[in-house]
Amino acid sequence: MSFTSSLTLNIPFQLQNQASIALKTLSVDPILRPDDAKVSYLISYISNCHYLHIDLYAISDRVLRVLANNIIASLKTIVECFDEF
Amino acid sequence: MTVLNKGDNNDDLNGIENRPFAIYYNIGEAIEKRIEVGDGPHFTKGKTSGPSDFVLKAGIKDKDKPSEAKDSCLGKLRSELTTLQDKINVYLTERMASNSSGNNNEEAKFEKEILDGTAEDDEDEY
Repeated sequence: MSFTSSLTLNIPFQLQNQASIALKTLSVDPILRPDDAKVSYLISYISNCHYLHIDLYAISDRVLRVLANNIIASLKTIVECFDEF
Repeated sequence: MTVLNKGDNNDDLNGIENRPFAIYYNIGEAIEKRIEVGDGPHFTKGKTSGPSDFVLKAGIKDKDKPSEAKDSCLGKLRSELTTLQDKINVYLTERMASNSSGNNNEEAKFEKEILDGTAEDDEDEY
């Protein structure tokens, strides 16, 4: 099965630690249909920011939308936790 | 985990303003679309997430309502992520609609039912 649609999310964090924790937290979530989608993560340091790059690959826009929505929802929870504690 | 250092080749990130953004690619149609959050204002309550207006009007209380963003960098990031989520949802929904208008096969219908979880709901209606 080929992944025709992809989306790269680029999320800036002030601290390397925050980007790293976000990556580790997100990466343990299993992909419910691994034949239909794939996710990879990468951290880079650009313009005084630590960027978490999340590459999403899917067989269709519909699968990509579901995947992106779930990951961003999880990411918002992670960011809220950083802000609270 | 892979870590790149400043100066590594990454043309997509040149000129960024430290805001979240996304880039959509479609290999088959040779499409590349950059999705930015824009200047705002940004809020933690998304337009494309949470319960629908129909559910809220029925008197259901939204127990998962997101808290207001704090006046901090992370609060700002959370609001911007909500805007980015909305824009991605809108863009991909538009693409799905335009694709499905010319593609009404059984496979697409089956995929929609499975992913939306509406397969059982449809059966109940008939």
